[in-house]
Amino acid sequence: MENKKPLLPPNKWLHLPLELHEKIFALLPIAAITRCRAVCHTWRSILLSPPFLQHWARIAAPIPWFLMFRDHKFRAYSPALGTWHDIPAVNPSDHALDLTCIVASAGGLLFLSSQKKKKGSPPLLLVCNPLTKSCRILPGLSRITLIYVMGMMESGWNSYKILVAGVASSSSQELITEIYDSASGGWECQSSARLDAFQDFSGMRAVWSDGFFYCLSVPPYKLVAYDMGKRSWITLDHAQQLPALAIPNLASASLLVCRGRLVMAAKITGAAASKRVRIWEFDAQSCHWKDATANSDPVLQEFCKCVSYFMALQRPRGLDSVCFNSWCRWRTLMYDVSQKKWHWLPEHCGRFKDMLSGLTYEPTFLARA
Amino acid sequence: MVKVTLKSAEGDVFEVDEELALESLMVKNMIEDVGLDSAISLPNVSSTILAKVIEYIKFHMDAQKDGSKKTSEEIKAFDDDFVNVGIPTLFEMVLASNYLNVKSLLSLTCNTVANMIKTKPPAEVKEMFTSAKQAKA
Repeated sequence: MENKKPLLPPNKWLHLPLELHEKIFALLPIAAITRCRAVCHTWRSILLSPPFLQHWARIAAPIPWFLMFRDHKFRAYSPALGTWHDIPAVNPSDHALDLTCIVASAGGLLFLSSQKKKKGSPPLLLVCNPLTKSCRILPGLSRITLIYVMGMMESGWNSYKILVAGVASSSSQELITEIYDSASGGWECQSSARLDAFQDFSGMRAVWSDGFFYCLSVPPYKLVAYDMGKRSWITLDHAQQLPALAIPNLASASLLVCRGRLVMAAKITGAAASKRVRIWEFDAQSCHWKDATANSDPVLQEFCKCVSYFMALQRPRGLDSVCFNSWCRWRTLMYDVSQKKWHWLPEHCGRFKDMLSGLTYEPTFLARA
Repeated sequence: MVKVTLKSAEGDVFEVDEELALESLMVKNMIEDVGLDSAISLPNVSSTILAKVIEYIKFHMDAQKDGSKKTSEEIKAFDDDFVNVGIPTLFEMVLASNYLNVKSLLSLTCNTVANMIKTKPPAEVKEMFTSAKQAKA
């Protein structure tokens, strides 16, 4: 847009001094800041200047976005503006990438896994900040060729750790866990006996909550966790700990982190009358799951009529919501956990033609990959 | 009640209560420096805008007084109506409240501008600011 028309010289803009420009810009949500960079050169230079961005980050409340993705296309819903935004694709120029998918998000960064164009090669793992285009391609895994589980956690200001678990070959009984630390820039590798649950896991996403990475298998669901302190895997799937998993007709189960707590959301399928969405919250103290679902809400009833949908959403600081997405009607439903209320998000264009996935992402200009 | 005389850019004279005048930190400093004997000259503020600023401060001072029956809804309605002006006037109010150092008015006007910008595409923002310039000229 900037290149099409000659820009007005800076002095033709309103005569507000720089400090007032900054004062006004500091009140803008992050999506408006990126958009307003296209207004003129003066605005662009203010809105890209590190002192301004640091000032903005100090005063602006962090509001997570709901990020939807498929292949290279990302769209994000900003609760502050109530609108959907396109997020530019991240594609490091010297790598021919295909089928990028987002594995996890932490501290304003996205962890992506991408299949190289050449078939049979191991996936390329990268971390990026889509707003600044800062991108880091992780060094190759030391031993894993077949990935079961991946996850990401924030391990301090502007540092993160990445978990990848898998095997060296499909017949191997040895489970390999590799942890990447952004501070050292290298993988730390460890091996253990393969867990029974892992045969059902393939490229699953682990969520981070309170010292553990949690991961749910494909149906029949099994829950496992990786203890980052002890560096060991534990299985949590016996009936006493997770009765919800024994419910017949459970489908689309997803692990989420909401208000710092582990939450499982799932759909109960079957006869029309029994169809519903249910949410359980994990109480780490008593090791019990408690039902956190609101009862038959009309909006929800409508949503359950959909042929299929996916659910995601986690960790909104102060937002406490869970998002569900229907891929038959291209609509997204948000559940406010604290208020136990549902509402539809505005429709976004039907850009996604296939299966969607999503997660919460806290946009920031400061995080460096 | 002690009065303070304020003189706008056009030379118009506004006589206000000292209490009201002190709400502007800039005027307060001037009074401390030069006293109340002569008029306080405000060459950067036009009569129209100065009258608006005085109206704003007066309303909020009254609203804060004991016995004021103003509800927070009424105050909000006043503020909304107060900034519901053309963009050139709004920008002049941003400048004036910054110059006069009236923090609450500066915050109100800056928020209003930010709200106007935040949902618009860049081209519309550009147009909004350009036409503001033209309307002024």
